[in-house]
Amino acid sequence: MEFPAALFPSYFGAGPPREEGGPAPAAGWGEHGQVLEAGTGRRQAETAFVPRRGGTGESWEPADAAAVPFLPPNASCWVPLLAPQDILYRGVLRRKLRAGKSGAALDFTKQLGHFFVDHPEDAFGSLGQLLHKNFYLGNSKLRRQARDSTIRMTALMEEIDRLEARRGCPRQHLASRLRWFSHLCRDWLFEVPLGLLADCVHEELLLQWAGLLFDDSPTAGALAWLPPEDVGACTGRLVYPGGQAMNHLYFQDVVLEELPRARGSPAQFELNGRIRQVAAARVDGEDFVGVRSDYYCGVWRVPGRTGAAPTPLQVIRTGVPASCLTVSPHLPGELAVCTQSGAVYLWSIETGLQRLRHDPQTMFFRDHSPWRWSDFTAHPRVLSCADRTGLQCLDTRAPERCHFDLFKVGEEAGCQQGERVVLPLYLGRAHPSQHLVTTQFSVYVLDERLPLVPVLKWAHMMKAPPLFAHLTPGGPGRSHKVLLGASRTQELMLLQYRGGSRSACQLVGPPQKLHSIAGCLQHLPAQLPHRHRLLQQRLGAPAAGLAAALWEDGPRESLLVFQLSEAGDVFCQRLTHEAVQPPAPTSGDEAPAAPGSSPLFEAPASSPPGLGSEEEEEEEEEEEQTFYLSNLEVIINEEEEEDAGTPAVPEEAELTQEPCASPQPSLAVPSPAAALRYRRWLKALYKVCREPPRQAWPPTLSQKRLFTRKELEAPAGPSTLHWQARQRLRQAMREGGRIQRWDPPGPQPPALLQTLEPAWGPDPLSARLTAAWSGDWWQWWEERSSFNMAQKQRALRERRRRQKRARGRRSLSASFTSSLTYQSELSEVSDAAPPPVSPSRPPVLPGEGSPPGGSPPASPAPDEALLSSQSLRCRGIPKERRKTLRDYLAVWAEGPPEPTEPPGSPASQLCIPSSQSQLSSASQSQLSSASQPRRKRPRMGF
Amino acid sequence: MDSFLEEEEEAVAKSPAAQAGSALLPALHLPFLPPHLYRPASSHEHKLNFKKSKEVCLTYIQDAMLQKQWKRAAEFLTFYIESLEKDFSTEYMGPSEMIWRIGTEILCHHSHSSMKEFNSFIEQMKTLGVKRYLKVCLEHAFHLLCNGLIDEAYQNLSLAESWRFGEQTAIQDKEMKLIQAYRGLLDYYSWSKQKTILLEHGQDGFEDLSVEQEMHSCFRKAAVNLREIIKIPGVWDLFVKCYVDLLEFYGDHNEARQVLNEYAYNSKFPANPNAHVYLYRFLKRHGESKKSLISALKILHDIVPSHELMIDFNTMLQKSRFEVFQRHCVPIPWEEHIEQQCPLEALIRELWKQQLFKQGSVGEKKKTSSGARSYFCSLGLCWLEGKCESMELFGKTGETNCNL
Repeated sequence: MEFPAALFPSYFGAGPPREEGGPAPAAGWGEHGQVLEAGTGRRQAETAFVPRRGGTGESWEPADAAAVPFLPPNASCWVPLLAPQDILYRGVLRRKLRAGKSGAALDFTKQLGHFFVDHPEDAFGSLGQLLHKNFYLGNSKLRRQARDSTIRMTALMEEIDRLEARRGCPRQHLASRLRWFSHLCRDWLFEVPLGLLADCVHEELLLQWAGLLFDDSPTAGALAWLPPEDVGACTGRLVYPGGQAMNHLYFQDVVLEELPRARGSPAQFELNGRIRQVAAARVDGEDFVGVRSDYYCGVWRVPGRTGAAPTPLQVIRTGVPASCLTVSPHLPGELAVCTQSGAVYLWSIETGLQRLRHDPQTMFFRDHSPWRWSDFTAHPRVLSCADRTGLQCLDTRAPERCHFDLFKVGEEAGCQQGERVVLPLYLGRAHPSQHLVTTQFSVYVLDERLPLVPVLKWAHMMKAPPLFAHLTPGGPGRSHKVLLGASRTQELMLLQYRGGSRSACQLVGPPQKLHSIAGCLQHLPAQLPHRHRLLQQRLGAPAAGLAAALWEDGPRESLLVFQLSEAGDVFCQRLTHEAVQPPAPTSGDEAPAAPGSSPLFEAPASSPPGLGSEEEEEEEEEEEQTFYLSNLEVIINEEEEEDAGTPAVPEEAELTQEPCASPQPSLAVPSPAAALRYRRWLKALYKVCREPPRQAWPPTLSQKRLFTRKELEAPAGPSTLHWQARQRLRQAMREGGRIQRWDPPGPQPPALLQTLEPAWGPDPLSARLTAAWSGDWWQWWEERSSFNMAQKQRALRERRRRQKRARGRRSLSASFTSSLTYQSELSEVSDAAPPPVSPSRPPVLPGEGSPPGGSPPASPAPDEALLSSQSLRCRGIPKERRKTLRDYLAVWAEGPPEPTEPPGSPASQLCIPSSQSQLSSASQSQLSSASQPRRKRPRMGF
Repeated sequence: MDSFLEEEEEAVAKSPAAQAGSALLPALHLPFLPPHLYRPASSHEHKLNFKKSKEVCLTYIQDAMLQKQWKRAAEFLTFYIESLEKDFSTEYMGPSEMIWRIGTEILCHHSHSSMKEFNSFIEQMKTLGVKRYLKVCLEHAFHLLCNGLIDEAYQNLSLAESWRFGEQTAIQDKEMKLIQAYRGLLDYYSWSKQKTILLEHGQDGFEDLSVEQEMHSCFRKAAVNLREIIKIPGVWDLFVKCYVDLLEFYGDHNEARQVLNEYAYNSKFPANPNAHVYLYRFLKRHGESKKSLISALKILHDIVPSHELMIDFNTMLQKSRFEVFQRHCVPIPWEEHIEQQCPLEALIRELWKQQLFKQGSVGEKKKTSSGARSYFCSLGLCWLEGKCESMELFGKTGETNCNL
């Protein structure tokens, strides 16, 4: 391993960075940096110079028009991430805030309000329970004696409702009643003291906002490629997370082809947390895969031969979230772990954890980020440790004493103000002593042998900090390929560099942008708007990982780049490099774009290549049209729209669309194979992501005007059946569904006890609470248990009596169920589950013996019971309303025509209308099963 | 004028992003923060904003360049040049600098561009901004040098050197120094060319006074400029080498030694392995004592244990006292073994053999027996543990041997 005989000239200063940073969109272009004499020029007549940047590199051309789905969509309905508008304030204050230049304002009150509404139990639990009797929310006036201990809150509620509606009104005044109430209750109403709760909510909001701006938890990415064991083979493995919570780890065999494909089903492990990072290294022909989630890190061993199953080796748990996990390329089963508390560990499978450093402070200057990183170096016992301020190398055998600074954010490396380390990466496969360091502005290549002075520096101009990096080493005389990936914007960039041993490091070739996942949206077939929206969100999800595989196919080399999104989708693209041919001019150069002609109109000129083999001709046409449309749509440009339209913050998806919003010069069309994959992927996606439950409810019928609450209230001791029927009715009305048939309730053993509980006393909880407050809770319990005993005895007695009665009427129920069960079973059934009816139930109720057990369907009894005029009258429903109710219910009772009758249900057509009921014919025909038993016989053999 | 105000306003609106310490700021100062994150309200007033269209245009250019569509990028750049008309920006990088950078890049890669076009473009760019005149000149010279146009580059550099404009900033000062240094470098190359001519002719017995005079003037010009830059901390391998060569030719060994010592040992300079290499080679050329040679290589051994000069270092140490050897050296013919990729076992056996041999030859048995063992252990363990591809076993871990 040689050291370059001469390095590129550079200044070296010490101290904090002097250069003022700022948005520099084109900072990476047009510079050679420095020049150096090429080779030993003294013997040549003319000295030749090589530039530090701008030399000729290899040409890698994208083989397809966009990234192609590599795996079927992740089997989960992906929940879109938090968007700025969720937590930012949008209201009247906006203008003031803008004038004050205070930037973003978090909508703190909204979040607190959400908390109160969504978790009332947690917010007001105990006091709410205690006070609920004293707050009256109804409309009617309070009676005199109740007025002493109860206050009416209805007006207050209305006031609150109105407050929301009046938001934005300049003449808004806080109602005095509200102010009065809040002053009164602020100190005691809340379960958690309001100040404390507010602090917590605010802190969480700040965290969320910081995560929205920059989230470092997926640093280094959760995608790893395990190359095939021998160079010629073309079956490697891809390790990626999946599942709804991204907590399943998959090892998938992959066959490298023009469009790589998965072979067989993946090996799968379910883990205990969301997978943040997957790191892999090969030692002695075995791959070691480290997996980091927030509080757990695990390591797997994957034997080199294909088909061998990966074995989990060890798991560690951390008290503080881990921020880094790297696998040693030198020794099997050795890893470096960092936690956010500032600790760095060397983790060996055999010897366990060794803490090398614990320092909550950052190394070179103070920075509040708890992020730490560690990686391996050329020496197997030396680790590099990084925080946002720089990198240090330390010897694991004497970590306190033996260390040196490798990289410092400061004048040493010519950094800008505000620059921070985002991702360090050991480039050992390219050169044993090289490291890559990315910051939000630049990318540096460092050499351990020349610490502090970057041997290469380049402003990468990426819109988001590069959180992922991947190295594909080039052989002798070739350039090393470095892929940089950003998370939120999905940017992917390919850089090439060479040198390090014989010659100084040079950045060669222009940097190149690769396709992002979101870029394939325009190549997908046309979608309905809501699906388009879904797709946009799904494809625009931040990237979560990056991996690449080199595939050699004769003289042609391909670089297959895999990209993982946070939704768990893996996309793939191929770059080709013709080793023999001279680099052909790029497609962009060849496109005959006449000056003045807008690229806008070029787009639809060419048509996609013939796709005769595909079965769906129509779809192809559609696709062509889609492209045209989408192209136009892209040019119309969201930016204008978003300005003209809602003053809201633009959507996440649009945000990520922005970088690829430029008009395309030539119509690049995905290959037929890629198009097929798109279609399959879409199909699978819609299968996976079923339509979410519809947000807008169908119009509901209000029952408020039909009956007052009082009217609907059962008189004294309503029957269970009544109660249940009413419940069902209410539920059906609430859901806007239909009452198809009156299923008798399922077996509800506790129902008996519940109904038997005295209706006269206070409800048990209040009684208990009252008892607890007054201190004689124990007594209450004693009472209750003895009361329960008595109650149970009474219930038992009641049951026996009822059974006796039922036996007398057995012929009725027997005929009803005989089509379903044998006699013996029937008795068993009726024995086992006593009918949940109270003794006070009106005797008209039919079918009482039948209901529970096997829940034979279609007993229309409750219907009738509820609607019989007697029962209506006895519940105090006025005459004129009785008719309305009956009509209303008749509509529902008619229900859908049931094509197949459930087994054992009586044939309704043959029933004779019951004499007792005067209901409409439809319900009549269904209800008489019990009273007309003889008609059931013919049904026996049905 | 209103656009000017607008830009001012924008600049101020952006400034919160630069302020540190606010709770609402991210953990990282982001360069391209989407502005709407900071200004949740965007309104109609900016709808047809000149600035906005400028930004969009720039996005298109960047996009095209990153996809190597140079022609398309060039077309967009012609539109972007309009942005120069209202270049009142106080931003870090103004449109004129961006046009220079983008234009240079496009011309470097565009298939139809020629050197003439490139030169005329750069000349225009030089007049565009005062602040980066020197930078543009320097980059222009680099481009010319890389294309083998050394004379043009030299002219360019001399022209830039004579440029004066008000008070120089620190960055301009640095750039000026670099310009002078590169001019000195080119002077050196012409000096060495004349030197070879002169030496060849000198062998013929023919001496040309004018050539000699020109050579000396070249020397003077080169020496002045080179001496200046290597005083400033930095990596100046190229310049130091040339300067020492000049000094050596004229017999100023003391100055040369001083320069090299400064370059190698001044703590303000980075720990550059090449500085030690140059010093060692210089000392060796002048037949310095072994002790000074060893001391010159000591630091190099710490920084780059795998350097090819370590073989020399080993042999020297082997010849010197054994303790020193024991402390520092790696007594196996590394290169040979590594190249053959001999098995580890053989390597250790070899090592062991050598070790025993050394013990015998030095004859300090009491000390060496334990020393050798620990030494062997350290090496062997290192190898067993490491199996690393590189040969850097003892780099940065000075205490390694002592600990084990």
